[in-house]
Amino acid sequence: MKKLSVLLLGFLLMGSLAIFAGGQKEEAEKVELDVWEYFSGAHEPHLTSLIEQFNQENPNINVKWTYVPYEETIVKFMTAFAAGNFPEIGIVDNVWVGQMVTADKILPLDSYIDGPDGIDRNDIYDVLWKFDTFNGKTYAVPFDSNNVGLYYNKDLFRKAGLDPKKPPETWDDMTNYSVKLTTGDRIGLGRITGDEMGSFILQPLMWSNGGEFLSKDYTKAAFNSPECLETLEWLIDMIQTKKSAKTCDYATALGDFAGGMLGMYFQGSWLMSELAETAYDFEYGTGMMPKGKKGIATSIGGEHAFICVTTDAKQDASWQVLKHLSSTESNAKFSMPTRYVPIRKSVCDSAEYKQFLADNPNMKTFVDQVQYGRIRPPLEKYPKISDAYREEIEKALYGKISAAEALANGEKKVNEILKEAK
Amino acid sequence: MKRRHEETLSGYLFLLPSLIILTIFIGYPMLNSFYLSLHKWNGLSETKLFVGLSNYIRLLSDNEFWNAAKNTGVFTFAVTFGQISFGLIIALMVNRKLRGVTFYRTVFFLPVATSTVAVAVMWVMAYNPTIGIVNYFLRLARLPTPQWLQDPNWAMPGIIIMSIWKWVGYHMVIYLAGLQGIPKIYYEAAELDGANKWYIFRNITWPLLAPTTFFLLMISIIGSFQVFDQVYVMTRGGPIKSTEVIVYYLYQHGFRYLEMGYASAVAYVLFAIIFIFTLVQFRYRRKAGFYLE
Repeated sequence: MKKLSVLLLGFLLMGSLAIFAGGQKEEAEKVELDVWEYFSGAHEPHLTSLIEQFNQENPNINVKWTYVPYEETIVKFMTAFAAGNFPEIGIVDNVWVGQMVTADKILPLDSYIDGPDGIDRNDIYDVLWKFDTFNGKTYAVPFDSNNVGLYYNKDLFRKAGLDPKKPPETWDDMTNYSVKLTTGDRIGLGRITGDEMGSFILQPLMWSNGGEFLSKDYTKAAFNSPECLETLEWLIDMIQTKKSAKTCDYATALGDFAGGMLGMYFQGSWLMSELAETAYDFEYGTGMMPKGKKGIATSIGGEHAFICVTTDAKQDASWQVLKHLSSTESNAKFSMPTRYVPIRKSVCDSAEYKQFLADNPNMKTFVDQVQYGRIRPPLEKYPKISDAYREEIEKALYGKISAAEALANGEKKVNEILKEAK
Repeated sequence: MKRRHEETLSGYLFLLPSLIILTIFIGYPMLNSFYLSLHKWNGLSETKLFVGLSNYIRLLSDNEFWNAAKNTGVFTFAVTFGQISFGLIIALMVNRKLRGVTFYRTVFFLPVATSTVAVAVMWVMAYNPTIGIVNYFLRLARLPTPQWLQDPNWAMPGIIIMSIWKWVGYHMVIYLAGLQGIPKIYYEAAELDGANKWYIFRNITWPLLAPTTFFLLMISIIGSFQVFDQVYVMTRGGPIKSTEVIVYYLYQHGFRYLEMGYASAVAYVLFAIIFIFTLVQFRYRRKAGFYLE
C-alpha cells in the first residue's frame, strides 16, 4: 500500500515537471497576443473580423481576444496588473486610459506613432488624442468614437400629436414633449444616469447651460454653480414633479425603449446597431442634445487601445495590431455597421461614408453633432471623481436630497479626491 | 512505541495536503490581510505605507460604511426571518403522505442547487418593470407595479425576496429532518388527550424543533452577512447605494478604488461581527448539545 502511494506521488511529480518543461519549449516562432475588450452583441463580430483579417495577413502573429464586461473592465485590468498576468493589448473607454497609466504597466507609444512605421496623427481627430496624453506622452490610440444624442419613438410622437420629423430642440421642448408622451406606464424621457454613462449624459446637459464639471486646470470641482443647479432642477422637475422622466440602468432603458414604453431616450450612437438586433416594431428617429442657454453640447465617448509592457517582440507585434485597428480601411469597416463615429478624417471625407450618411440620417445626427462635442476630463482619478459626482446627483434625481445639497456634497467629495491625487 | 510513532507520522502525512492548502489559501491571506489593514496600499506599488489604525478610524467615521452596514443588517434580518418562517411552513406542508410529495420537495429544493449568479440573472429579467413577469402578474391582479431594481425603495426588497426564494428549500430540508426526528408517541399521546392541531404545533413541534431553528438561524445570519453575488449581479449596490452591502462596499474599495488596506480593514470588521455570531452558536451548541444531531 505504502509503495503504491509513493509510486503515485512520484508519477504526479514527474507529470507536473513535464508540464513545466512543455510550457517552456514552445514560444519563438509565432508571437501570441491577447486583446481584452468589451464589445458584445451587435458590435463584437465587427471587431473580431478585423482581428481575424490581421491574423491572416500576419502569419507570424496570432491575436486572440478576451471579452471583459464593460462594468468589470477597470477592476479586471487593475487586478491583472497587480498579479502580473495582463494581456498584451487592451481596448477601454477613453476616460479610463488615465487610470490604466497609473498602474505603470502600459507603454508610451510616441516612438511608434511618430516612427518610420507610424501613423498619421493629423488624420485622427485632435480631440480624441486628449484622452491619451499624460505628462506629454501618448499612451493609447483611438479605436472608435461616439457621442450622446437623443433617440425618440416616432410612432409614440404621432400618437401624442407631435411631429415625428421634429425631435425636441430646447429644454422647454423636452419638458413639454416628455409630458405629452407620458401615459399610464409609458414614460416620456428615460435613462439619465446609472453608471459611467450617467456622467456621459449629465455633463453635456450641464455644459449646454453654461455649467462646467471641473475648473479649467482640472484642480477643483466647478459644478456647484447656478448653471448646473438649474440643469439638475430641470431634470428633477421632470422626474419628481411631472413624473414624465425616469432614471434607470442600461438594460432596463433599452428594454423599455424597444418595448415602446419610453418616448425619448438619451444614448450614444452605438445603440442603433444594438437596436437593430432587438425586436421592436416602430420607427425611431435621432436628434441632437437639446439646446440650453449656451447651445448644444454633447460628450465625446469612444474606445482607445493601449499596449502593455511585455517583451520587445510582443510590443512590436502589438503595435502592428493597433496600427491595423486604427487604419482608415479598418475604421471605415468598423464604423459603418456598428454606428460608431469614425476617428479618421479620411473616413468621414470619403465618398463611401458620405453616401452611407445620406442613407442613414439617424447616424448623420451624431456625426453632425461632433462639432458640439467636449470631453470628460482625462485624469488618472477620473473614474473615482465621476462616481462621486454622479452618485450625489442620483440621490437628488431620486428625491432623497435637494439639488443644491447634491451639488455641494459632490463638490466636497470631488475636491477631496482631487487633493489626494496630488 | 515505534509503531505508534509511525502511525502518528503517517496521520500527519495524510493531513499534510489539506494543511498545506489551508495554510496557503486561508491562513496566509488572513494574516496578510490583517497586516494590510494597518497599511495604505494600492495593490500595485512595491511600498506599503504603515498607517496604524487609521483605516479602522476612517471606516467608523464613514457614512457610506454605516449605510452598507445598515443595508446588510436589514437584509440579514429580513432574509433570516423569511427563510425560517417559509422554510418551516413549506416543511410542514410537504411533511405529509401525499401523492407526488417528493416532486414538490424537489421543486422547492431546486433553486438551492442552482448557481446564485444564474438565478440572479433570471430574477433581473423577472423584475424588469415593463416586460418582467413579476409586474405582469401584479398588473393582472390590478396591484401597483413598482420599478423594483430601478427604485431605491424597492431594490432591497427585491433582492430579499430573491434570496429567500433561493434558500428556502435548504431550510425546508433541514426542518423536514427535524420534523421526522420527533418521536411519533408525543403526537399520539396529545391526540388521545384531545389536543387540537395548533396546540400540538405550539407545544410539541415548535419546542422540539428549537435546536433546528437555532441552527438555521445561525447559518442564515452568518450567510446573509456575507451576501455579495445577488447584489453584484442584480443592482451593483444601486440605485443610490440602497443595496450596497458590506462585502460589496469592500469589493468597490479594494478593487475599483484600489484601497487594499482600507478594504482589508472592512473585511476584519465583518470578520469580527461574524465571529461573535459563531461564538454564540458554539456556546449554545455545547449547552444544548444533546438536542442537536
